[in-house]
Amino acid sequence: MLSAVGGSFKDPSGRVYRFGDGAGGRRVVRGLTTPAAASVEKLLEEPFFRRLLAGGNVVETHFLCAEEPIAAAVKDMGWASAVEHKSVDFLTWPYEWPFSMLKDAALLQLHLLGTSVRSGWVLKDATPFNIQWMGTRPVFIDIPSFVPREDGEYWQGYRQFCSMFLIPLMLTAHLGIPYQPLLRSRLEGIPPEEAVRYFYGLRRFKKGVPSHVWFPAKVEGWMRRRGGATRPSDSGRKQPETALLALLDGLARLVKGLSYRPSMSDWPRYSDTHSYGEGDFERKMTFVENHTSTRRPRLLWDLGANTGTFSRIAARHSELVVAVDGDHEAVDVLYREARKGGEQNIIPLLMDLANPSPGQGWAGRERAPFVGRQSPDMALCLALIHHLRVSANVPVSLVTEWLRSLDAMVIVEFVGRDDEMFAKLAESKRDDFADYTSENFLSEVERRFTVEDRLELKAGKREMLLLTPKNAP
Amino acid sequence: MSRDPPIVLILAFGKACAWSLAALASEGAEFASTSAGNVNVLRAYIDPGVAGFVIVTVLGFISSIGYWARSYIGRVKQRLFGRGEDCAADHADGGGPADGDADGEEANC
Repeated sequence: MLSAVGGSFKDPSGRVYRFGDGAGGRRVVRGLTTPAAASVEKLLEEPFFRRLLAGGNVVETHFLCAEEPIAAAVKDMGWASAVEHKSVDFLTWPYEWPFSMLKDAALLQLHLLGTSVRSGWVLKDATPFNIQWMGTRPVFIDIPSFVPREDGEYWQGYRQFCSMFLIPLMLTAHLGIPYQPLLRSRLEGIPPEEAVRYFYGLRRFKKGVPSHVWFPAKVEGWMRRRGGATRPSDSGRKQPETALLALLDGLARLVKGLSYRPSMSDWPRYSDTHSYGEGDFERKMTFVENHTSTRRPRLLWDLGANTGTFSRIAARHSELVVAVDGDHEAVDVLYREARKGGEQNIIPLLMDLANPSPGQGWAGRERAPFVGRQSPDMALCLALIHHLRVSANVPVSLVTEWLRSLDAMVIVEFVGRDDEMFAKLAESKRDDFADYTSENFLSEVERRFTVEDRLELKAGKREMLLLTPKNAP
Repeated sequence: MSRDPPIVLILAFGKACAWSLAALASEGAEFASTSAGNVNVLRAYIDPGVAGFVIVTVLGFISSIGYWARSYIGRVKQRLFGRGEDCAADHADGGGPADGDADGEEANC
């Protein structure tokens, strides 16, 4: 059964479908129009593209034989041809990526464009939604974005690159403003005319701002005031290849030089500063290791992953671990270390679990919500519930209900009221958190799950539980 | 690219610059196309902005000056010290995705 992928409708030259069961159907096919099919066919023969494929920079792609049932199904949808792409295990969106992930995605985009231009091709757009992650490796997935470069064609994706990669990165690097909430609310990115308002006064002289924010904003504003954007012109305006490559070179140098100033968050040092005694921490790790190695989940979510100590343990026994945390620095550290260590089955994501990514874009389906994207087989929820209860005021019953809705096994660590970490969190609150007791938590859990295994930590102040979901009443 | 005769490139940049200046000087509508002369079916949905061509041309020209300056400095260094490879050429492909050096360090050249 083919199901159209929500975000693929914008480019009229094709449409992406999943083939298989559920939202995470395992085969990914793309229907193409006749001109797009001709372009992709030519592209697949190009030596530069084969090099990109061999380097893992672009997703593996091949044409389907017309006789294959899946190709026939695509043709029945009105497309001329069908190609199959290697499936991405878990889709993520740029507003879920920490700084270093967006930066590496930007560098990949520039690398692909530079390589294409020198071979007579170009990338017609420049959106980070065209990049997905195979673990910690960025991969370009929108193959029809490669089109033959017309003689002297200028880079039409420049504005999109600035709005969706460069300006968000500069906002964080230069001003310390997190770009994720902005990208989440504006799927088309932050245009120069809006960004220029952030860079006022002396801020407009920060690196890259005069050329890639201030100047485009002024020119666009000036053109609009003069009544532009009304008549397409066929005049043969061209940009030399050398000038385009020099621009790409300058952008790559600019992006490489951008870095953010870490906040004073304690969470990235949590693995050194946590409140466990050595024995308890070892027992906690063994509990996770034992149960993940026995179940060997295909997809595991580590909710509240911090810098990924337990994600790494789970990754030894899982096909893919999606490690989610709300602390930017912790997630950025996890990404950088995992990438450096070549860990290919962990995807770090930045997300406030009290406000996870919703369905976005057209009909709320263009960018799937985090929870509806693909159900995990197992979830780790270690020392998270007290944060949701105290910091986000989510009642214990709703937390357990949400965990049950994942329809997955859960390893949960409950932090008791007498634990010092709970006391620290709750000290400035006036609520007495009456529902936050071990007894009430267990009662809520047992309504929805079967407790398969238990382990007390810190002399009973904390408890680890292995839960399997009960059938819905 | 760094071995091309500079005079040819200077002429090409001059031409591009003249185009962009002409664009700025002429009626807004003339140069406010959404995709200049490159509209075709494969690119139909791209929005380069009202002034995409002018901005990209001017920035491309300015970038070229820095690019060539770095290139010549690299060559001079190479002659003087026998090292200092042409950094600009190394970066001409956009530098590629950072392989584990996503900490914002500048490239080592």
